[in-house]
Amino acid sequence: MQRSREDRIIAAALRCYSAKWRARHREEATMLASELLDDGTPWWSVAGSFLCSAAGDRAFRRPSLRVGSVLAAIAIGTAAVPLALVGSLSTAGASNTTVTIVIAKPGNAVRQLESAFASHHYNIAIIERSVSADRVGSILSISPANSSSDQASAIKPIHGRCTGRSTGCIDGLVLPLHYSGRAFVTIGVATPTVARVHSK
Amino acid sequence: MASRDMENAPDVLRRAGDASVLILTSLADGPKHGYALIQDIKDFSGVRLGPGTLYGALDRLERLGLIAELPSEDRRHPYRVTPPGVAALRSHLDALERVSMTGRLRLGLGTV
Repeated sequence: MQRSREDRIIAAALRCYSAKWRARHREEATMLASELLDDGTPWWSVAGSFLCSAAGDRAFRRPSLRVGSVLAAIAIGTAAVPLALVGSLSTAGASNTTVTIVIAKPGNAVRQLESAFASHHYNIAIIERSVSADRVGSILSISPANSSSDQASAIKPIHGRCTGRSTGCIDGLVLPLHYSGRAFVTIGVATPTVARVHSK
Repeated sequence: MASRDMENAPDVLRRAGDASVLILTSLADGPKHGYALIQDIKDFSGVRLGPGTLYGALDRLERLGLIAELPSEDRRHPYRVTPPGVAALRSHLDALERVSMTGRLRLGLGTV
């Protein structure tokens, strides 16, 4: 089955969730579904999982309309999937205490990190290292600028997938909002250009 | 005294489902987003969580205050385990260990 059809089926399954759920998770779930399809997970498995969970979501959120809502979700789902058969840049987010950076486009990871570090006035140098294609855009190491600095340990990695199908790569960081240490972040690139240092 | 308290701590994960326990275990070594959670859980347990199951469990754990979403302007939101989540996981693993030990003893397998 063509990928666009698979995407439409999954989009139809996601429409079975409550509006509240969709407002919160739809974009992320769409991206996750895309990653799972890339990974070889069958479309019917992904869509089926969303459909079953959507029925549960409606049952939980609307106890007064439990039976009707669940039946409606199932009906919409069973109708939407056959109908469908016929028929991404990340920056950084900040809370009160931390900044989370998730690399969305591996080929643009250096620019994304540059932008995120600069906007938060972090004194973090980006070192580019030539790597194989499946490691492009992955963070290879996080280290302090000098041995006396203990602030580098305050930078927490987010483990995710590599560019290929392998896993175990670091594709994001969580930093204290007011991080003032100096550190190096080494990132895998296809072709290194120059090291970039961001100063406060 | 501490171990006595631990034994008496309520096991809030007892009715939360296996997916919740697997997610908390995965988050115990650092924040992860959805795809990384699914892959990690498959690696350490052999269980492949469906995406619907994953989001159901994430919502449930968040309502219980056991995990929290990290802010991100990306479409992918990493999740982290909260201190109550760590306590709940520890309590649940202790309970599982007691069941495991009892089962092994009764099967004549001794304890590991």
